[in-house]
Amino acid sequence: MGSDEGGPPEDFESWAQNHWHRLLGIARIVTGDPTLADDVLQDCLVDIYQRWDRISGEGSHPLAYAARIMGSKAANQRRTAWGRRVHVTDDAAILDASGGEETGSIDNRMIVAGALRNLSARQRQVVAMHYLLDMSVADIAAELDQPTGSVTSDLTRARQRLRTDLTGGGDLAHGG
Amino acid sequence: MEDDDLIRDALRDYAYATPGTSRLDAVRRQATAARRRQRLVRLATAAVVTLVIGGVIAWIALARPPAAPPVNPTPSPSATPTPTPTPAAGYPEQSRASHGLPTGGLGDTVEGLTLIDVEITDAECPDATACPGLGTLTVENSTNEPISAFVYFNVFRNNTPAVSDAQRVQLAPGESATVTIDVQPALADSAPVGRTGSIYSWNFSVELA
Repeated sequence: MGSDEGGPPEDFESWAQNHWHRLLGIARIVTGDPTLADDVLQDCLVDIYQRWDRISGEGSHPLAYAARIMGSKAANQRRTAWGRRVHVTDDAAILDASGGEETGSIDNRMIVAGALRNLSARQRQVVAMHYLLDMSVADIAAELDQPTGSVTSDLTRARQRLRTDLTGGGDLAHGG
Repeated sequence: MEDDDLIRDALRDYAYATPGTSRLDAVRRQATAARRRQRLVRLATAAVVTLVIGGVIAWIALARPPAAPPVNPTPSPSATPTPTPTPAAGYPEQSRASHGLPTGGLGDTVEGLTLIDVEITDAECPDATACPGLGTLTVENSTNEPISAFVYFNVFRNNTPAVSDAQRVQLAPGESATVTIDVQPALADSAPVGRTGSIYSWNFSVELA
C-alpha cells in the first residue's frame, strides 16, 4: 500500500512525482498559507525521503503520514518570526499565482484562505485528511494517534466554522 | 450534506488551484545536506564522547595516589648495622690453595662436590668498615656415591690466607646442601681492616671425611 493506490511499492521519486499535486494541496490546507505551504511541503518531503524505507512499507499510507508531518512542521514554522512575516503575504500570493483566472475563483480562494486561518492547526490537519485524502474519522484517529472522539470533535467544529465562513460572507460559487 | 460537498469543493479548489514552487531536485539536495549534517553531528558526538571518556580515564589514572613506600623503622644509633647480602661477585675468586686442599670457585667441582651457589654477606670490621662476614655456600654431590666431607670457606686478604672455616656435609648422590660459615669473628681478630683498606678474595675447598 506504499503507493497509496494499493499497487506495488514505488520508489520515493515516483511516489513524490505522482502525488506532487495532492501533497501540495494538503500542505496548503494544513498551513492555510500558499507561500508557507511550499516550504512545509519541501521540509516534509525531506523527512519522508530520509525515512522512505519505513514509510513505504506494506500497509502504510505515505500521504496520511505526510499530512501528519506537515501539521507539526506548519505549527513549528508559525511559531517563528519568519513564519509570521510570510503569513501576511498569503493573499497576495493567491493573487499572484492566479493570473488570468476568473475573479470569482480568486475571491473564493481568498475566502477559503481566510476561513482556514480561523481554524486551529489540528483542525486544518483533520480537514485536509478528511476532505483531500477522503480518510474516515477512524483512519485519521489512527494516523494521528488520537482518540476518535477528539478527531470527530475537531472535524465537527472545523466543518461548522468553514460553513459559517464560506457561506456567511456571501454566496460561495462552486469552483474547481 | 450539500454543505459538506460545498466545503469539499471549495477546499479542493483552493488546494489544487496553482502550481507550487517546490521542486523535487530541491528536496533531494536538501535531504542530502540534511544527511551530511546528521553524519557530521554523529561524528562530532562520537569524538566528544571519546574525548570525555579518555579524559575521565586519564583523570582517574592521574588522580590515583601513588603506592605508599614501605615504612622503615628508624635505626637507633647504637644498633648494629644490618648485614647487607653481597653477591659473591663482589669478592673475586682466589686461585690459591688453602692449607693444601684442592680448591675451586662457583660452578667448580672439588672432590665430587660442586659449588652451585655462593653468597657472601658483609659484616662490620673493627675499623667500622665492611669486611666479609658470612659465607653461604650450596654444594651438590655430583657423583654416584654418597659423600661425607668438610666444606671450607676460605677468605684471603691481599692474596694471603686470612681465615678459613668449615662445616661438615653428608650428601647422597645428586643431593645438595647449604652451609653457612661465619668468618667475621676470626677475621676481626686477625686483621681489623675493612674492604676499603684491603682486597679480599675467596674460594672453597673440600676435605673428605
